[in-house]
Parts: sequence; structure tokens; C-alpha cells
Amino acid sequence: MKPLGFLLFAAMVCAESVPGDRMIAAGAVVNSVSFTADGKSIAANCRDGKVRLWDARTGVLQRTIPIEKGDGSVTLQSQSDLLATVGGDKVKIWNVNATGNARVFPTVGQRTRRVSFSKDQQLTAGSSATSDTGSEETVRVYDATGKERFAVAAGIGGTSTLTFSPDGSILIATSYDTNIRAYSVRNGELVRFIEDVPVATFAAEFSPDGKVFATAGADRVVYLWDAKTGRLQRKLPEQPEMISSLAFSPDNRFLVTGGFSVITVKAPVKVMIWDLASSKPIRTLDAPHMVGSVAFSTDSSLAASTSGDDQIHIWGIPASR
Amino acid sequence: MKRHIPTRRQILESCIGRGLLIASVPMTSSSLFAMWQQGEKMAAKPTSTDVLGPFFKKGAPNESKLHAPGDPGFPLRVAGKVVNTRGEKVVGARVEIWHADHVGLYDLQGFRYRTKLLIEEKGEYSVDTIMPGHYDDRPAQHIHYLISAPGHRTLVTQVYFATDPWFEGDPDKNFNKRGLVSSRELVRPVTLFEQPGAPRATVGFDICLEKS
Repeated sequence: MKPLGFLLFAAMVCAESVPGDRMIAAGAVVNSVSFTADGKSIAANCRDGKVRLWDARTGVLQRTIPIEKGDGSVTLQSQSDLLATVGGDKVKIWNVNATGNARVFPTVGQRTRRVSFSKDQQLTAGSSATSDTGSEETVRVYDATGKERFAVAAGIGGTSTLTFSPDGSILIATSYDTNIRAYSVRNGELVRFIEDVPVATFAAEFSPDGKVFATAGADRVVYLWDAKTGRLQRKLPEQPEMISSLAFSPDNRFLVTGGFSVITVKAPVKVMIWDLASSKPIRTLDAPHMVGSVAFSTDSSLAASTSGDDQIHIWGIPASR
Repeated sequence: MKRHIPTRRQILESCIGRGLLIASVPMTSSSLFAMWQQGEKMAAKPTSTDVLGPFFKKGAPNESKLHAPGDPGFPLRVAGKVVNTRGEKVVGARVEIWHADHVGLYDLQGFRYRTKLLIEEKGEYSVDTIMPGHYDDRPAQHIHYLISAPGHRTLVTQVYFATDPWFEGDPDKNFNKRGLVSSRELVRPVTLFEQPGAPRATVGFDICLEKS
């Protein structure tokens, strides 16, 4: 589709609100959002150093988890109850739905920058610079006890995303060097090396059925790859902005994406909800700034996005009903 | 009377003659001198690294002239040597350079202000381009570098300009303002030349790679 035609189409699917649309005032700027595995809560990592959980149905605040100073950056992962902080030389992992102490284990090497969990919550992947000089990157996988399973080279310039396949057998690392690497989680073997995308990927995720994985980034395009062969299946039409975040609906039918303007992260952008069967957007929504995070509810009826302010935007998915 | 200042070679030869510099295995004084010199060269500091950033694009052409006639922006030449920590020229290195246009926008559709140079026999590079613009998210003007060469660690770095208002006229004090620039050495002085009809800025940026 030509860009002008696409924009007209996007304008048509823009706009009016549908059941489920609402906002949650988070009380602080929201960095990222997720739905818990049971779908009952929305969790948000807020810039005031707290993780908050709301009832996904009513929007009532349920719980606030303070993050200690020095614990560093927070990772929330949708469809997962785990919350990780990475600071100094340790990772702390909480279950946001349970009381009790965090699981703490030391990290190896340089400061860990990206973290991801396997769906069964047994494995944690982290990426960090290989040394305190140089630009090489290393990805490590730790088991549930914090024991390092392997450490592998992961390109140069830093890891932009880490994501496990739903069955926990493959870990994908995307790099600012533009290459996409897939590792066997068993032993760290590099099983796929994809060089076909000329620009950096900022977001990647496997479909919940594990058949495809999606990547997206600076060229505004969502790439859908065959998870078995690593071959490109198809691309979705180009979006108005670069794509920084994406999430599949658990029923494998929809994809939500959000991004940022090439001019500045402060510029308004679009959140787009795609019907994967037709490769067309079913909703195009306004976000005031760069979209930091998107997520889908467990029943696939709601998507959520954050965009650098103190609101969590919840979007209804009409076709899901 | 003018004082005689001995050369480095004369000092070392004198040390060898007096038994102050001794080889662990028998070797001639000239071999010993060469080895010493090599050791000194190995101490050359590699260029500091910097972030790769989100706008790298692979596949850029090998072009040394990145701007077209009539392009807006202040003409700029960036040039330097590519050596390693032993002081050797790194022939065959690939130097990828990319930067924003005069208003701070990167070309992600094409290869405007992007190049991938092959370093030939002289071990030098030179690029004619424009001074990159400022943009909100990374407000110091900068040019990105990615340098790879067989037998050497790949280097990712950036060059900044001492004349940039971001440094408020004092890069020694302000280079790390808001944590933007990791190393003072990456902020380079700018020399202004007059070329027919227009001024041109020149920045020297030598690159030193580590052996892998």
C-alpha cells in the first residue's frame, strides 16, 4: 500500500472509542506496563520507584511494591508475574502476585542492561557489555537458582531486546548492530543469524503459539518470521513512526505496536492494533509521546500502552468479542 | 651555548652500552632497541568507545563525498589516520560513518550522510560532509563511527565538536554534561578554512584500534 493510501486508511480506522477504552491515572510517570499471567491485574513500573498493580476490570489500585534505591532498572513482562530489577551486580526477581522476599542472584560480568524471563519463569536471560572497554555484547542465561547456564557473544553496540520462545527452547537477541540472533537455550548454540534487516530492531516477541516471531524497529515495519526456519514470512505495512514496542494477543490474532518519532521522543505518535489475518490495522490510536511499552490482556480483549506520562491507556479490541 | 638534547635512540643506546637495559636472551643492540620501541608503541591508547545508537544502517556505499552541491549545512571535512595500539597502519579497515542532517534528522530510507570507507595503503580516511544538526534527544552534535578490521577489535565511537554550543565554550569542563560524552578525547577542535566562496570546517579524528 502506498504511504498516502495507508494514512487515509489509518485515519478511517482511527478515532472513535470502543468498549474497554479507558485510562488509569498511575500517580507517576509510567515506564512500562504489563498484564499479570492470570489477567486479573495490570502492573506498571513507575518512575517514582514503585511498581503498582490495579484490578484490570475496575481500575482500582490493589498493591504498591516499592523498589529500593540502588536496585536499578525494572523489567516487567506481559503474561508473566515476574518483575526484575537489575542494579549493580545483582538481579532481584519478585512474583508480583505473591508476598515474600525477592529471589536475588549475582550477575556475571559487566552491568546487566536487558532482562527477559522464560514463560515457565524458570530461566532468566540478561545482556551486558563483554568488558569495560570495547563495544562487544554478551548474553547470559541463568536458571531458577541463578546459576549461569551459558554466556554467548551477541554482536556489538548493545542488545535492544531479548525474548524467549513460548516453549523456552529458543532465545532471540536483537542488536543495535541490526542483526537478529537466535540461540538454543539448552547450550547457547547460535541456531539462526538473520542479517536481512538493514536497521536496528527495537522490539521482538514470539507469537503465543510459537509459530512466528515478530521484530520491528527503525524502518517502521513489523517483520513476521517463521520461528522454525528463520525465514521472513511477511511484513506489515509501514507505520507512521519507528516501532519501539510490540505485543501479540494471547489468541495469536492481533498485534499491538507503538513507537517514536525520528525527530524526538516528545512528539505525538500512533499506537496501532493489527489484525494478523489481514495484515491491516483495526485501530490507530493517538499517544502523546514515545510509546514505552505495550501489552495485551490474557483474554485478548484489551491492549495497554504507556507513553511517557502518568496515564496507562487501555484500548478495547472490538473484533476479539 | 646551545644544549645538546639526546634523541630517544641515543638514550636507549647509552643505556644498552652501560648495561642499564639488558636483554633476557642474547640479541644485538639494534634488535633490543626495536623491541623496546615496539613495546612503547603497544602502549598507545585505543580510541574511546561510545554508543552505537539507534540509527545505524548497514549497506552504506563507499563514498568520501557525502553532501551534494547546494545542500544546506556548514561544509565539514573529517579526516584522520587509522592505526592500532602498536602504531601500525590498519590497511583494509572498514570505517562506517553516519550522522544527522543539518536539522538533526537521520536518513533511514536511503544513505544520505552515510558511508562505509575502505582504508587503503596510506592508512588514512577523509570525508567531505556537513556539520550535523542538533536534535532534542541527543543534543550535542556528533558523528558516529563503526570501525572493523581483521585481527582487531571492532570499535564503536563518536566524534564531537569543541565549538558546539552544548559545551558552552569549555569542553574540558562540560564534555560530560548530562553524561552525554564519555571521554574528553572525543571532543575535537575545529579548524576553519576559507575555500572559494565559502568557509569550511575541518576536524581531525585519528582512530586507534586494539589488536584482538
